[in-house]
Amino acid sequence: MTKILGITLGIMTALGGFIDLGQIVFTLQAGALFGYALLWAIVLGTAAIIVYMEMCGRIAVVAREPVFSVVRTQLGFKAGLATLIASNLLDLITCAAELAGVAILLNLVSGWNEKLLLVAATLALGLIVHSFKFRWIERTFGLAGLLMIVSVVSAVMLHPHWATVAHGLLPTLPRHDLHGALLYGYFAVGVFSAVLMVYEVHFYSSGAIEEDWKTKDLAENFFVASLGATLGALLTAALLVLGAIVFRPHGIFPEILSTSLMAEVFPFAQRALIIALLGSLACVSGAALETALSGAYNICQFFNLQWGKDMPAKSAPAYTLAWTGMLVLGMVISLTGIRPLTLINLSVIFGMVVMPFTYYPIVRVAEDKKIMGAHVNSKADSAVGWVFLVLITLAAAAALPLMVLTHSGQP
Amino acid sequence: MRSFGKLGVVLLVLMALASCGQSKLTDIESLRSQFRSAMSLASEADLFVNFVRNGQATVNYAAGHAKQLSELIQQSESELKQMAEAPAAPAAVRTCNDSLESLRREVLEIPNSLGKPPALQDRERTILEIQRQLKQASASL
Repeated sequence: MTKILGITLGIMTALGGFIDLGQIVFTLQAGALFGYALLWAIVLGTAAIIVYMEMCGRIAVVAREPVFSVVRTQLGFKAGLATLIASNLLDLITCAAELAGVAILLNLVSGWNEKLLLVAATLALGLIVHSFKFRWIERTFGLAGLLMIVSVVSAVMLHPHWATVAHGLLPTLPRHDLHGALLYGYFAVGVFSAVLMVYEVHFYSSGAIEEDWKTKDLAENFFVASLGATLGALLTAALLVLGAIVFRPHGIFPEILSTSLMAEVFPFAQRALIIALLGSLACVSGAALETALSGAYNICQFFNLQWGKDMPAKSAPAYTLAWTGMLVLGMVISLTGIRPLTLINLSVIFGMVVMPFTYYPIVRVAEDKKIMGAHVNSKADSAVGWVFLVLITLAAAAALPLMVLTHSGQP
Repeated sequence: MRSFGKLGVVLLVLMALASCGQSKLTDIESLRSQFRSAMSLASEADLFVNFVRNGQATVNYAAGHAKQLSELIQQSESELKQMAEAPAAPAAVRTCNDSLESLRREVLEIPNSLGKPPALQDRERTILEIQRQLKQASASL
């Protein structure tokens, strides 16, 4: 039973990473604009995140080295510090957007004042992190997030044209005017990036150490990473299909979270809306916690300070201060009234720019026999890792120009 | 470290360019984009009315979504106001603005029409009329 529940680390990591506020709206927009044509970006991103989650889980178990410890040793202090600052800024703006998303969802459930809900939700999430063991946090949010399966059922019930869906799994060149082609590129990079957000591997590798995985657990590491990411990909693909079926025929470009909920439960009655609201709430809250905790893990691992969710706060003061600071700062940013989707757009695109600096050290360490011993990468593992790294670097180089040229994805 | 500093400056410039790009509305192409956005909002409002009419929305969801959608419409209105200062096609800008204003009023009324099929039907009729006006004005560009 414990082993089965261990899977929830992969599920929470993937749901918090895949099905967060940005992914929900961004993927629906991609479906609304390009139908099923960008499904391949989800598949590609999922394959890449499985590879990197498995590698960083293996490094965490074998070398007892979480991601940011690896980043510092491989990139050196200065470049490592720059990566830390960039990653934590991204975590912070993502956390702010997710907290705003939680407040919006709670408002849709209760009708209460959004700003009060934002403060209350931040306090509640802080209390949860403070009071519960890591494994209970991961189990609660991972399993509650499974309610989002309602969107998969919804997509199937709406009878998508399966042949066209299958065609979308293969990359195709866009047949649009220049602006359309640039938009296609922007959304391809965005969907790919949103699946590969670096906080997922920060959280996953730290979680493996928090849960005290041993080398005997390595077989499950691949299973946990694959299952979680595949589930996240299935839900993401369902959202894209819903965007294509519900919004595209009407020329709707969804820009708010509440609109996405209509698509998620389109063929069903009111109860499904409540399920979708609760599922979204679990995923978006999970993403807020994942980003806040990732920020704290990153700082402590980089500066070699005591960290651990299950340690008493007094034994890991920097860690406790860091995650608390992330939540409080995130709340303050949200209270200024900046639109959460503006923050998410920035985090998805700038997240792409930071990615090579996180994934490069992971591949380097995973293929280092001196560090990994018998658990070093096979040649095939390394080849796949490097191919994805090249793709990530190309996407990172294209991300900012595409953002400027498309005015952040405006059709 | 110096190269990271330069990279930081480049990123800041690109961020500034990206945010500037969103607010400049000076030519016909930008006006067309505004019309596309307004028509998308009108279609979204129509979808919302049907969602409520089919009994799929809870009271709190209807109120919350109406508020969010109306804020989005208001944002479009403010963007158009900027455009009115450098009008590419003043009549079209006016039509778009009037349509958005009416649309916002209709959207805010939807939660009050919950469980009242005739009222929802009226809302839908008005929204369809707004869509028609927008389509007509957009075609003239």
